[in-house]
Parts: sequence; structure tokens; C-alpha cells
Amino acid sequence: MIWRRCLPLLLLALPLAAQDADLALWTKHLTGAETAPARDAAEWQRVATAVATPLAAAMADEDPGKRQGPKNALEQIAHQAARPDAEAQRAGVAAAYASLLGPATNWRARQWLLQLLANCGRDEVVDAVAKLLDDGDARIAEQARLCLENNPSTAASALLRARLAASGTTAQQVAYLNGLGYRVDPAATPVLAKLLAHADDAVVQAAAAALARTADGAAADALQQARGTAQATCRPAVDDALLLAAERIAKKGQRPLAERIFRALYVPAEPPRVRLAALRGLAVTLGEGAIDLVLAALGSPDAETATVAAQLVGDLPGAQVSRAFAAKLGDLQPAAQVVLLGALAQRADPAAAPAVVKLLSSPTAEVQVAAANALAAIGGVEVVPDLGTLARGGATPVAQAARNALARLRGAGVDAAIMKLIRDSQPPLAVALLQAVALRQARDGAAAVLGLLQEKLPPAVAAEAARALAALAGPGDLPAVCRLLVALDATGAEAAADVVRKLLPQVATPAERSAPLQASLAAVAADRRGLLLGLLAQSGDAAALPALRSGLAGDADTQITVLEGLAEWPDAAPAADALKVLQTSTEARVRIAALACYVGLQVAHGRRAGQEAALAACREAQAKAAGDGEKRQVLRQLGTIPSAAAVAQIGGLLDDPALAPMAGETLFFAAGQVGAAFRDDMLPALRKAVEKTADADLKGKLQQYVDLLQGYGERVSCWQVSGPYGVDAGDRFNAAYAPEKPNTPATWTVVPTPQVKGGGLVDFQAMPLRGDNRCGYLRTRVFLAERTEARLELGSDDGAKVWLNGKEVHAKDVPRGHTFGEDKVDVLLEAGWNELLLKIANGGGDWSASLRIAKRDGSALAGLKYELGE
Amino acid sequence: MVKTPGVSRRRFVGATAAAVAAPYFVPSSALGQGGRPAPSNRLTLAMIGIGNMGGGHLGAWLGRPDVQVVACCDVRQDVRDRCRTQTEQRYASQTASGTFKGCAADNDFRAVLARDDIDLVCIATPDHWHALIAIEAAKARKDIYCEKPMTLTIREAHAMHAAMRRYNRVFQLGSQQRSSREFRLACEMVRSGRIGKVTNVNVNVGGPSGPKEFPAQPIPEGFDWDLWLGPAPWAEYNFERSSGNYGGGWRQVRDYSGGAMTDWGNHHFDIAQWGLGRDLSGPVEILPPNLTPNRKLVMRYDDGITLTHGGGGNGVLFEGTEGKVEVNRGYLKTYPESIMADPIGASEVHLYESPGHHEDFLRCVRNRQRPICDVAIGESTITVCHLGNLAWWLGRKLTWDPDQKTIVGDAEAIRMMDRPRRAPWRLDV
Repeated sequence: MIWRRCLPLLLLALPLAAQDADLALWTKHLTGAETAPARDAAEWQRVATAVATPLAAAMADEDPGKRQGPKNALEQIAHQAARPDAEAQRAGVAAAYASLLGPATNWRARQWLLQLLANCGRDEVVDAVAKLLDDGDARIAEQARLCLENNPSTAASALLRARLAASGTTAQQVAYLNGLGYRVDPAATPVLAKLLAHADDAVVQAAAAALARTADGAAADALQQARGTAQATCRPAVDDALLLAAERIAKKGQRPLAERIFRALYVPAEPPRVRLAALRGLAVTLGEGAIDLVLAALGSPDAETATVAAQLVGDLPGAQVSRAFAAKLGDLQPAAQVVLLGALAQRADPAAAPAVVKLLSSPTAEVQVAAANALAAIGGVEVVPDLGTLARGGATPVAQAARNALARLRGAGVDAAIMKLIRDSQPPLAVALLQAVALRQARDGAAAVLGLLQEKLPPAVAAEAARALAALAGPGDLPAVCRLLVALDATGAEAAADVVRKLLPQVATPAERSAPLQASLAAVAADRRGLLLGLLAQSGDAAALPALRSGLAGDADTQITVLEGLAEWPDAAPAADALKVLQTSTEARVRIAALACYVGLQVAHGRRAGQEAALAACREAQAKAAGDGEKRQVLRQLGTIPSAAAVAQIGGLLDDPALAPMAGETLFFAAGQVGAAFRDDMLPALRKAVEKTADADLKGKLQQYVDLLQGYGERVSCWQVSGPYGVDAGDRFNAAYAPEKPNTPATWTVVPTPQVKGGGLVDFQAMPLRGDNRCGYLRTRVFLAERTEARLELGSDDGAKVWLNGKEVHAKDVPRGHTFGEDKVDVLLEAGWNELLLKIANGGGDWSASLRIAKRDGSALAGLKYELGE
Repeated sequence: MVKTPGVSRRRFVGATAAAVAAPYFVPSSALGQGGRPAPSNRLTLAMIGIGNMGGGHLGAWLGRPDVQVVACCDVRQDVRDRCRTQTEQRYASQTASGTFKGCAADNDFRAVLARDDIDLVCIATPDHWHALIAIEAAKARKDIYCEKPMTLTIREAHAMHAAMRRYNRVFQLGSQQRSSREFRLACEMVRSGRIGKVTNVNVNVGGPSGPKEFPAQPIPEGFDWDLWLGPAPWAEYNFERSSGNYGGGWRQVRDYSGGAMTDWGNHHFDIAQWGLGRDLSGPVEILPPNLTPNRKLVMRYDDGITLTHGGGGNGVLFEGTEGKVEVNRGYLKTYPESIMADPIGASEVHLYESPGHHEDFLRCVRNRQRPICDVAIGESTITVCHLGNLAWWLGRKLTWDPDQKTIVGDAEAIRMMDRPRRAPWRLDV
């Protein structure tokens, strides 16, 4: 839009008319920037010629930047002139532009003026444009033809017809035929009809296409005749043209003629392409009168015909069509009933519902299912009892379809009708209805079920109501559900606790999570206090810690429940409490729960120091363990610590004959978690475990990890991953997301061993961030004792970017499959630890990457060490 | 222009599915190596246009066990050869011998459409080719996945709609936002009345293309420039002119594209239409930026609801008497937040739930239903985009008749509903 405002300035910069004061004023008149005085077409032509001439001349510049302004200005003047109710201005400007079309004007301006005249020129430009049809510059000659093609003048039509008659080549004939077809010229029909018998296929096809657009009786007659005479190579084009002509004839209101054409084509002898197009055309032409035709096609043994018919049931306009089709339902065979029911569902017209309900009692199950499915789309409150009757049939397809239909029914009062039916029903039906209630996700559904749960219910109904509540309740329902923890019997309370567990992550703040639980805690009986404390431990609310610490001083069951909840605490605050329990409890199961809580919190929040603390706790617990069971559990916790020291410690236990089997199992577990990340430490431990393990099954599984880790070769396997980012974003490759932004936190997780495939291929599609149209990041730390010139050998599916120590060293935005070492990037690794960050984009399908760090000549680089980032 | 094919295996597959009126499935006995369906049960697909978007689609199709890519068509020899190599390498990795040959590399789409052993085409050319290729593909009885924007002109959209229906084709437009949960949920909330009566929708996309000028450059070897131009006016070769780079390239050139108005507009205006329940309709009045108080393009529906281009908000912002819904990729927000606190209930509006855009297309190919971005929806949406462009370019108010599908009372604008095509190309419907 800037050029609109700059146009007067632009004109002042033009050399020829720079000093002409009138020019600037006329330009304002021509562009609409200033109201123009009344002018006739000749006067407009004079001012437009004066303004347009230097603009056109300026388009000769070889610098495209200098051509752009004049080009835009010529367009704005044309559009302004061609606005409604400005005929004199339009005619004047068009004539002015036409006067500039001669060879004295540069070719770019001529071509552009012709493009503009294609939309604003009429009679006044025909002669000037016609002269260009034989221009020596083929680009101009073709643009002139296109200009006339879009000119509504009858003179343009006559000219194109004359040029067609005089055409010397097939290419010219096709061009003029296309032009006549584009503009729809009934006067050309006789000529076009003759050309249907032309020897050249391209001419016949173009003539047929032009007649199709003309679409009058004469054109249709010509095309119908040509079907009998056309070469086989042209027949499809003639068929297509006749189909299109018939459609256009129908739209013009000449339905009897269109009907005749379509009926002639809807016969078995025609190829399916033509026959089925004719069926559609005929049905659309007949409208409501096509019902019997469509029903007959619906029952056709030819499946493709039936498919088109089914779509027609959905497509045909008319208020009576649904009722008319529905009225025929009972007359059809079951297979046709199924198809018609599906099509009626597509129409979504409730008028068909009464007829559909009758088929719920069909002796054929497939029909019952189809009827239920249809009612889901077109039924309302009135069909609830009928669907309810079918819904209690257990796991049968009919009952399932009925329940699904109840779940999808629309309309006011449906939810209330279902709840009433639940209260009036015996368990089998009440349970089925509650399942539907859960699926319906009604906004007030939770409240209704909460109300139901306050009543005395058969156990099966109460259990199903609790399940429904779990599906329906939202965060706002937490206080009400917490009250159920106090009010219901033990079974009901457990079910309510499940609902609370589902809701807690949805509630925004820790305080809002803990407040209703603390209120219930104050009112609950002692035997249910542990249940409440376990839930409270999931609140993450610091204000709840005193109550939870009191729970840690309670009985063993309560201690364990609270410790399990605290393991997911949002910070390390309860770690000291867990450690205290670990060090003081006399019960092994409590100690194990405390160790798991402590290790979990330290690993999640304590960074490297936390890992060391967790490791120390495991060592201490191992030393104090009362028996094999406890030692096994301690070992399992050891296996969750992502550190080389933990791997080494597990490996060390392989020398203890009593612990070796358990250490082998733990090592197997740890290898799956962090084997790839700590390959150098894990491999010797795994080999030792293979040697020490007597269990053949475990030995085999350990050996598989040995093989996998060895197979990584020199490629990096120590990775953390972050993502996905830029899901479905247009330019995710160049957009910067958190991992590549300085001082921006991102969530990183260790890439587990199974996701680093053979050869060191990191498989993103095996990770939780999997999917199409997204990107993800990998990072690792690389150590070298000395500053070293190195080469990164990267493979990626799809594009990749690489940063070394925060500096981008490689970017390749390309859709491709993965090839090891496809990109080679020379880099300089600093002495000490280096930070490597990879961004891998995925369009669709496979998504993977690999990296080898080598010398510049591709040979192995010794002394590399890897570790995970903090 | 294209040879009419005979009976194909795919037609048998589709017909069988329709006959039993049940989802098509591959029997286990038909499974080939590695759990892939046997070749006879895979849908065969040709890529037509393999640039930025086409390359992405290729990866997705290659990752599907139920699809076999059998042809790569592009007017650039290096591009089509690379596509063929990638395809054959991918399939080779799934064979016991480690080798595979069986993907053609074609310059001209007509050679692809003439093959009777191809079920599907994925069209990802520049916009000015979409309609011509899609219509020829429909005549050749191929089912079609076509990148957005659907067309270059309003009349092309109308013709594509008619052709798909006439030849009973499954057509999925690549407006894949409809297959994303956040957009569906946003539209369900709006259509369920959770923001009250809708008053305005802000659609945040870029503006129109223009008559862009470039310097002439030599045509690269192996680049069929005349075929790349096809129906568009002749122009000198220039790398940028033919590049698919976002923010530049052919998308900024009016001869080939409607610019961001149609490119991103085909996504976000589509969501606006979906949320308003105007899938088969459109606005009645279009005001360009120079005629509106806020200097923004504004379209008005017959009930007074306005559609404001670039009106603020992230992606698409629905404004109602009782709240707002704002949605973009991976982003959904309501004002107030409570609007989206509850899931969509049974008595509220539930929209078509797509299992994924490609998956939805293939499912519909098998059961002959209409996919989530069927051609009729595509026609309406791209028409909205084109109307925005036309009003913008002309700098005056336009009136649109959604029922008759025509601009009213502006002869020049009516002539701009389509464009004459360089010979020998024509819109053959």
C-alpha cells in the first residue's frame, strides 16, 4: 500500500514529465486521491495518456526495483477507472493504455498493459489489441489473445471467431478455441461443431470443451452427434463436454433437455465414469423427483453405483426428501436399509427419525446398529427410552451402538431424561445409561452424578456412577468430590479418591488443591485419614507439609501412603523428612518407601549433588538392609539414578555372590534407562553381569544390551532430548525455541537406551515427543583434553541445525531420509567440556538423527568423553 | 487432454468398501513383509510437485505402510530424481534384498495421470497449477490430496467442486488445521454458544500478493520453465520468482498465488468459517483497508457478523457478546478462562473429528465418504480469501452473492473472478 501514497513523488522523479505541474494533479484524479472534475472519455484519455506514458517508459529499466513503482501505478489507475459508474473514465483510460501498446513501448510495459486491459478494456481497445495478435514478439501476441479472451465486447468475439477460421496451425486453433470457450460465445457454435470432426485430437478436444461451456441446445446436439463419430482418443473429452453441457443446461432451467441427455448417458453400456456422472446429474436435475431413481441405484448390485446413490441421498436438496427416503426404508432389503440409514444420518434431518426408530426392532442386527447410529445424528429426547431398551444388552454390537447413540443424542432435555431413566431402572440398564452419561460430557453431568451418588444405590450402579464422575468432573468439582471422601462408605470413598487423583493435576494452584482436602481431613474418621493424607501429599502445597509430617509419624500404612505421594513433590523440601524416616524406621517396607521418595526427590530436583546424595542414601540403605527383599528394592532404586557412579556401584555388587543375581537384574533395568548415556561405564558392567549371571534368560537380555551399546561404535549415544516444539508451525526450522534461546529454561530428559537404535541412530518417533510437523532438540557435553580441530558427521531426518558452545555451526533445512554422516561440519573443539546442541525438524514419517565426532580426515578421534548436561 | 483409464485395482477397493458399508480393512492374510499390507492392498500414490510442502508430504506418505509412492513428478529434474532416490532407498530398506526399484520420475503431470495403476495424487505445486491438475486427476479417476490454497481464482474453485462431484472423487484439501484438536474445540465452543452471539472474528494472516518484478536470470539446466509457468503469463526465469520460500518466492507473485491472504488465509479464514458454521456460504460485503475506520480489510456476513483481517489476536480470535475464543497452532485460550473449563457436552455442537489429515483422507478413499476438508468446504474458504484480495487490489467495496457464487455490480471485479490461461492450457470443465 505504500506505493499508493508515494505515487505523486514517484512521478516527480520521472525524467520526462518531472516539471509538469498538471501531471501530479491528474495523477491524483486518476488514482482517486483527489476528486476529479467531470470529464468525457476523450478528456480522460488525454490526461491518462499524459500520466501513463512516462510510467510505461519507466518499465524499460533493467533494474526491477525501478520498474515496480510504475507498474503498480498503472494498475491503480486502471482499477480506479474501472470502478462502477465511471464509464467515461474507464473508456478514456483503456483507450490511453491501448494507445501505448505499439512497438515503441518496451515489451514489459506492453505485456503489463495488456494484462490490465484484460480486466478493464472493452470495445475501445479491440482494434489496438487485435493488431498485436500477429506481433513479432510471441509473448505479446499471446498476451493480446488473452486480453481479447476476457473482453466482453461482441467485437472481440467476432475477431476471435475470424482468427480461428484463419488459423494456420493446430496450436493457433487450440488457442482461439480456448478463448471462445472461456468467454462463452453461442455465435461460435456452428464453427465449433464442425471442428468436432477435425483430424487433430487437440482441436476436437478444445472444440468440445468450448461447446461444453456454451451449453445450449445446438451445442448439446453437436456433442451428442460427435459421440457417435469421434475417434476413440477423443471420446472421453466429448463425453466430459456433454456431461458439463448438460449440467449447465440444467442450471439455466432447461431441465427437460438436461434430463434427456443424462438419461441417454445413464445406461449400462456407458463406461462407469460417464454413467455415474450421469446418475448424479440426473438426480440433481430431478431434485425431489429423483427419489425412486436414487433408491433403485441404492439397491444396485454394482457397488460403485450404490456408493454414488448413497451420497446423493445426502446431497439432494428439498425439505421433503428426508421424509420420502425414510418412508421407503421398510420396503428395502436389509443391506439397502443399512446404506440408506447411513445416508439419512448424513442429511441430519430429524424428520426421518420416526421411521428410523422402527428399525431399532429389526430382526437384523446390522440394521439395528445402523438405525442406532442414524438416531445419534437425527434423534432427540423422544428416542431415549427406545435406545435405552437396546443399550442394556451387554457387550453386543447393538447394545454398544445404542449406548453410543445415547452418548451423542442432541437436544434439550436429553440429559435429564437419561438421569430419570437411571433412577427408574434396574442395574443392567442403569449401568449402561451411566456409561452413556459419562460419554456425553454434559456440562452439568458431574453435578447430576454427584447427586445420584448421595442416594442409596445398588453397588454396581454406585461403582459405575463413580466411574462416570471420574469422566465428568472438572477442577471446580474438587470440593464436592472431597466431601464424598468423608460421606461415602469405604468402597465409594476409594472410587472418590480416584476422581480426586484425576482432578488434582487440573487444579491451578497448590492451595486450591489442598484446601478442600484439608477440610475433609478435619472431618474424616481415623481409619480414612491415611487415604486423605496420601491425596494431600499430591497437592504440592507447602502449607500441607505440617499435616503430612504428622502422617509420617503415624502407622506404617499411613507413612507409606504419604511417602508415595511426596515422591512427586514439586521441590526437594520433603527430602529431609523422607531421609529421617529412612534412617529411623524399623519396618523394611517403610524404609523402602522412604528411600524411593528420597531418591526420587533428589534425582528430580537435586542436580548432580542430589544424585550423589541419593547414591549415598542407597549405599547406607544397602548396608542396613534386613534381607534379600529389601536389598533387591534398594538395588532397584539405585538403578534409577542417572549417574556413572550408580552404574559402577551396581557393577561392584556383581562380585557379591549373594547379590550378583539381583545386581544383574538391576543392571538390566539401568541399562534400559541410562545405558546409552553412560555407555563407557555400562559396557564393562554389563559384560561382567553376563559372565556372572546364571539365569540364561537374563544373560541373554543383558547380552542384547551389550551388543546394542557396542554397535553404537564411535557415534554419540549420550543424549538428552527436549521437545516437541513448533508443532504444525509454518517455519519451525528457523523459529527459535527455548533450548536455543539463552537463559531460557527447557525441560530435558535422558534419551533411554531403546530409543538409541543400532549404529547410534536416535529415533524421535520412539519417544513421547513423536509426531509429524514438529522439531526437537538433542544435547550432550563433550570433553577433550586439548583444543582440537574436529569434524561432526551428522545424519538427520529431516533438516538439522547444530550449535557448538552456543554458536551455530551448521544449518540444513531439507526434507530427507536419514543417512549416517550425510553432513560433514568442520569445527574446533575447545579443551575441556564443550556443549553440543542439535535441532532436528520433522515434516512427516521417520524422524531421527545420528552424530559422530571425528578428526578432520574422518579417522577416529581418541580421548572423547561424554556427559549429560545439568 | 488425459487418456481415460479403464478399471483399476483401487476402484475395486473403494467399491468393495462401499458395498459392505463398513470401514475397509486389510485382512491379516494380505499382510506382506514386516506387517506392511501386501503390495496389492496398498494405495498407490504419485507426488506432483515436490517443493517445501511436497517434500514434507513425501516423508509422511513414505512412513505409511498402507501407501506406496510410485511416481515423483516435478518440472525440476534434480528434484524429481532426488524424490525417486529417497523413495526407492526407503522401500529398499524394507526388503530382504536391500534393493528396490519401482518409482518413476516424470516431468509432466499428464504422464502420471495417464497411468491406470495410480490410485492417489498428492498435488503440492505452486497455486496456479492446483485446479488444472486436480480436475484432470478427477477425470482420470484419481483421488486427490491437494495442498492449499485450493485455487488461484474463484472460478477455479467452483470448477474443482463440480468436477470432484461429477467424477465421484475423494478430495482432501491440505487445510490440516481442521484435523487439529485445538481448532475443532475452539469452533465447537463458538458454535455451542459459549461466547454468546458472535459479533466479529479477527483473522491474523498476511496480505495479498502483487505484480512483483524480478531481474531475468538464466534458466537452470533440467528446469522445464515453460511447464512451470503453464497457464500463467509468460515471464523471465528468476530463482526467487520460482522459489517456494515462505515470505517471498512465488507466493508473493499474483500470477501464481494470492499471497499470504490465500496461503495462510486458507488456514485461518477456514477456521473462521468453520467456527461460524458458514462452510458452504460466505460474506456478502467486503471492504478494503482504505475504506474502513481501522484501516483493515473487513468482510460482513448477511447477519452482520464481521470478519476482520489482521484485527489482532493470535491466529483466529472469535469475539462474542459473552466472551472470546482465541486459537492458533498449539494455542487455545478463552476469555474468560471458564469458557473452556468443561468439555463439550452431548447437547452442544460436535464437529467432525478427524483422525489426522492424511489418515482421514485415506480412510475416506476406502469408505468413499467425504473428508474433513472436502472440496465444497475448500471452495467456500478460498473464495473468502480471493474476495479479500480482490477488494484489496481494487481498493473498493465488493458485494458477493454466496448463493449465486458471483460478485454483484462490479464488471471489472467479475472479470477478475477468473483469468485467461496461456495456450494450450484451459480449465476443462
